[in-house]
Amino acid sequence: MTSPPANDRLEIEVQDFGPIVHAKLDLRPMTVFVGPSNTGKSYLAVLIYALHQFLGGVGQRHPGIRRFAFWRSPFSHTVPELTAEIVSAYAQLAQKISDVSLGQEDTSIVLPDIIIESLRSEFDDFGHAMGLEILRCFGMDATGALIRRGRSERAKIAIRHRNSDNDVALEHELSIGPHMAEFHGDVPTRVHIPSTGKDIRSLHYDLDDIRFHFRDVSSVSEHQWSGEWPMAYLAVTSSLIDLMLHRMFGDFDLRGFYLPADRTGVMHAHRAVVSAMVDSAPLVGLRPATRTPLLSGVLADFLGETVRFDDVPSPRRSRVSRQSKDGVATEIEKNILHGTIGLEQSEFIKFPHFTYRPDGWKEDLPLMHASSMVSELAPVVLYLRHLVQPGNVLIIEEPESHLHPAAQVEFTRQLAKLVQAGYRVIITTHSEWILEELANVVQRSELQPEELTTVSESDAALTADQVGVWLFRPKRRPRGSEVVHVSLGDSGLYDAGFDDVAIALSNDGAKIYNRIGRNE
Amino acid sequence: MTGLLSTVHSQIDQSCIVNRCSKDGCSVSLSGASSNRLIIDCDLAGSPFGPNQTKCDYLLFEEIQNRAGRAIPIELKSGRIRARDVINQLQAGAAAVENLIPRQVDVRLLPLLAYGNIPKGERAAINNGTVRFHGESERIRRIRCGSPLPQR
Repeated sequence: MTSPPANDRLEIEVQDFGPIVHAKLDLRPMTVFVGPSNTGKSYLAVLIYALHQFLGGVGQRHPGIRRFAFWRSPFSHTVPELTAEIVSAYAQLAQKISDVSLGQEDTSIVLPDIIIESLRSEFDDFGHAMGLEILRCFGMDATGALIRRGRSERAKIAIRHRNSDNDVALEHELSIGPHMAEFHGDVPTRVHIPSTGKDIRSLHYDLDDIRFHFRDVSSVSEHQWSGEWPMAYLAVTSSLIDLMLHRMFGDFDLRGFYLPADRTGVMHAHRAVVSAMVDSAPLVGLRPATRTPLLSGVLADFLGETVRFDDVPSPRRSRVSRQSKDGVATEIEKNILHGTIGLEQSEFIKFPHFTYRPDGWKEDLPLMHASSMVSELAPVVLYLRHLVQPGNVLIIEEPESHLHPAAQVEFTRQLAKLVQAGYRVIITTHSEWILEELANVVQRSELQPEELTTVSESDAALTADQVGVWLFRPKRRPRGSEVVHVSLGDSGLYDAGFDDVAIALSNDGAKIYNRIGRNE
Repeated sequence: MTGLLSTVHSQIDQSCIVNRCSKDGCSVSLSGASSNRLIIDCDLAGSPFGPNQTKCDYLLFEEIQNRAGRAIPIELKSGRIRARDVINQLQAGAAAVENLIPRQVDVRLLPLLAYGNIPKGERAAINNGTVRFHGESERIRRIRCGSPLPQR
């Protein structure tokens, strides 16, 4: 069973953000948001996705681009003055990294003050860029729209990360005003140095480059001063920041994927959307620009992923065998869909389209002719098979949509297995079935080995530490919502308020029944 | 104390009469309940139940002005719930009420389960479960621990 190091804790706190007055939660391998509609579950899920996109997505989508390049303004003039002191600091760092590599094990080393100071200045544009990514994910064009309506003047997002080797949590805050966002953060004084890997070899090379080329600062030429020094500085700084981001933001530096609630409709309409894109492509530049309908970033990203699966197999290889390595995707097909999801590429256009073949059939159905349940789960299967990797974060809005209760229960078990395999999962849900099975998943982990043989699905088990259930509930003053942690109760269930609805319904039924009984 | 309450009072030992409904972390709020009431703790000596007998936690009797009285067998569950046990316990409560109150006294039975949380499967069984009282089936009413008695 995979779980984060015991002391590695990632906490996010938001204030006056969207409908949320206040929320403070630690993100676990399996995180669940429940509560009434309009209380901000999806809002917080989209924010988390935006942070993953900003801190982890760009580096992993475009391995050639340093994440730091994503926020640093190309017009920034923050390259520090070339002095003997700074060259000496980089030389010391190069020596320390050499020692680490010889030691053959990962470690963290303290950075010289002068380097920390220069790294700190590189975060000047961070807040603005982060704010832009959050706006993109929400499909908004002004930061003011992110602030809770009422008397709030700013929204605040705090991220706290406590590393497993450090008791002091690093804290960062994004303060969002009506027109801009500002970042205030703790830049770590030490950096994690892996003993091997391309990144550390590259950093070592760049540091050595500075030590060699600028060892005599007094004889540096004008060309070196204005051209080579900024390049060398940026190369080292971008490598150091990449190594620091995990210490600063924990698993937010991993790539995230978001399956929006609208995914069923998108999958059904996929061919129409792709056809429209292809039809309009030859006209680009020939006709006046029209305003593109706005999509939220999460929906646009989802649509983009569905037309851009990196490893689209050729039509002959499109049907992946059930014996393949993608265990959970295959289990979903076998136990819930009772058929397989296919991905084919047209001979005429280079976009994929999706099919479903029910068990026992010899022909594929276009996805648009399959049931809503199939369209609901097809993207999950395809993402797991083609995009999401262990360590990534998969956010699924309302996975219960279009699913029979039995399928919801089975899907919850598959999510537990996904977490066991090292994926991180966040869901928003209104399903009591999902929550009840999740309670069973946690309770299975408390059974003794001999007791496990007596329960069904004994391998779908997660410890209470791995699962976080958070209840979003309306708040009257100030108006909005608040978020509270829900523990597994003595009854062996998560109390998310669903039962209050059931009580009212049941008691109404009892009153009606008892009255009818007496009148007979 | 008038008709219904005095009838009950005369048949039981005073030592089992209490003024609150609370056990094992679950309670029923009596705010809004009639002040003309009598509560029997069924676990105490002197109650209509023997020590090893199946029984509910409390029997609450209310007299409501200008309206019929109510007899409320109450089962409190803060932990795990088995619907079959709850139905049997409340049925035992209803049988005790039948023995305590002559049939001609106009009284409504309101079997009540107060609980912390309940799995869906058990909830369905509770919803479908009834308690027999004077030949009629009465559905079980449910409230969360700490909530007041149902008004009707």
